[in-house]
Amino acid sequence: MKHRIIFMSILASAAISSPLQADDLPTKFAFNRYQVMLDHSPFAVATAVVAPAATPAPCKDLYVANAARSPDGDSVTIMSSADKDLKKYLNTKEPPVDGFAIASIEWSDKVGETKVTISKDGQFCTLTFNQAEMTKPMPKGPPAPGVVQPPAQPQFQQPGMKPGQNPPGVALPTPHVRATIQRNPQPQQYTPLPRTPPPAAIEE
Amino acid sequence: MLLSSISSSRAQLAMRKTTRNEQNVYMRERELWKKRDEWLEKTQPAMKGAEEASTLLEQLKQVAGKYNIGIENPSIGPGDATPQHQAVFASIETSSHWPELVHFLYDVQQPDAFVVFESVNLAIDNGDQTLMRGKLKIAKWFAPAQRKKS
Repeated sequence: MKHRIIFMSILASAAISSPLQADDLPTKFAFNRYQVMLDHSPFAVATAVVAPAATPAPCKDLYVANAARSPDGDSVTIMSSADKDLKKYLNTKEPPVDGFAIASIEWSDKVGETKVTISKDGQFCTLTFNQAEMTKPMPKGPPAPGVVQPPAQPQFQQPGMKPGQNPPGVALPTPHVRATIQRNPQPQQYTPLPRTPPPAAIEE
Repeated sequence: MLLSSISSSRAQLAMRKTTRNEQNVYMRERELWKKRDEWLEKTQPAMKGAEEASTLLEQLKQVAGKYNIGIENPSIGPGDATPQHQAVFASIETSSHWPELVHFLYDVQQPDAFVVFESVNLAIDNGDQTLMRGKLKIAKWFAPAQRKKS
């Protein structure tokens, strides 16, 4: 009789407990018994979200490098800011180049405002000039003959110095300022620092 | 006074009737319980020592590894000792997906394993809503010391 308690406890504590048949000894249940619990979790467990495969954007990073009107057809050069080697010359009167074709051009008199709509693999996108490229300063060319450029100031930098910081001991040219001349110079002697600002120097 | 005495007598009578009914059931199912008692004596493992707790933890780790269930903060110790059984326990925290956890529970709990889940706390992982975190106190019930002597 004492084993009855332990026996029943084991059966009760086991999650797989079920009404045993009268003449059965405890046996292992088939896993199918819990299939429903697998399919329908009692917890609101989120299912892992599978991100949809990213569709390649045909116009990603593309911009208009050049656009020109011509009797032979308007031509547009498109380039990619991500792929420096990508450069496509498109013309309205020529077949598509690698799938790229000009759909329309919205001309503008303002520099950099022209918009070009191109098609690629059935998708259309409107490209503009690369504003970042347009705002770049023009690269300096070689100096014209006969023009003498001022020598560049040598830059000194020592360990521990911040960029732009002048090294100690290096005299930098300062604008010419006339020094103030005291009318009645007095011998140098120790005087306590005045609490009030000194009288204005009298300029010559 | 008289009424309370009558009420008490009725309560005692009801209790004795219940006990008698239970005994009738046991007498009627004598063969079944005798068979189960024999099964229990034959199947329930005898405790060899305190190292049984470590063995239990290793078993749990083995099953968990089978289903890629992460186990954290394992601890072991001696469990209750009663006239009916003596136990060791292992406490673990699990991190897994729900199906794997069900498989783990299924594999660990089998009638002849004498493994008892004394405490189960399941919750969805706050960091990853697809994961379940479980705090489990799992005990193994061995045969009582008295039976060992007999």
